Amino acid sequence: MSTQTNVTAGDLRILANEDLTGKEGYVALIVSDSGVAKAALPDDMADIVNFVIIEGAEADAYCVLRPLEPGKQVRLELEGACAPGARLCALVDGTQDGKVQALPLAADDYYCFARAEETGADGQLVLARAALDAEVVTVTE
Amino acid sequence: MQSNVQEGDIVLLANEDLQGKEDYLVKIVNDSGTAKFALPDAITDYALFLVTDGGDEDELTYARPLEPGRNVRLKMEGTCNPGDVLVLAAIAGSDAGMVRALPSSAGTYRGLAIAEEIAVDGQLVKARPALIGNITVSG
Repeated sequence: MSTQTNVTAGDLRILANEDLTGKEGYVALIVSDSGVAKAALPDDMADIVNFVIIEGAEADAYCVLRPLEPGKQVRLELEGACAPGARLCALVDGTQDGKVQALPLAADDYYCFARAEETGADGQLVLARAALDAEVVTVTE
Repeated sequence: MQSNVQEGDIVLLANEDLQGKEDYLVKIVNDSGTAKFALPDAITDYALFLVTDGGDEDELTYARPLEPGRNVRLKMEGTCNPGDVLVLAAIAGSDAGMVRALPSSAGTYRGLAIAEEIAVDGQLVKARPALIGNITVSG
């Protein structure tokens, strides 16, 4: 028989790898800190972000993450505007890392992981859903 | 109408001997019109279920669909760190259906999950299914 022990559905409680206070609604990923799994904001717009922060915390304190899944809508902190159906990816600019943005026109690699389900304005918590067609998109301008 | 659909584990016949393959990844194949579970034949296969109770060929097998909302334990080939992208292990010997960290060698791999703990060879690594798609490594 299978040995699916110590696995869970739903939100995940995990140590923060950096200060995540006030980062609710931002997207995050799991990184390795000397072999320990911790939550972190993306460093690159092609990073595979697969959680939204539900409750932030200071570095090395416990925060709460919610996995992004197609069966459940989420609200994500939006930078700029978006239209319903827009592909969303993480923003990484050194100051607002982990916010989301509509797929930009600037050349780069972007991990498009969700689609907007409403019109969104700058600073809004936009209604979105993890997309089955999630992939790293290369924009060449 | 959404009749005869369900969430959670499903039961299908095994297309090959899946005894002892619990926690390995399998895909659904077509055997003369009958849906059956089979181990992957290629590293880009859509192996989207993990075996929870393997059966002999043409016997019933239980498998759990991979979904991002629930982490799972997968049979690890090699080592990995938290945050590593996991892909299918090379289809060689008894490794079909195991996972490994995304290799650095050139090729196209299907990202299936993200490791949520450090792991060693042969371990059942805790991982979360992720919507990643194909990853091309240029070597």
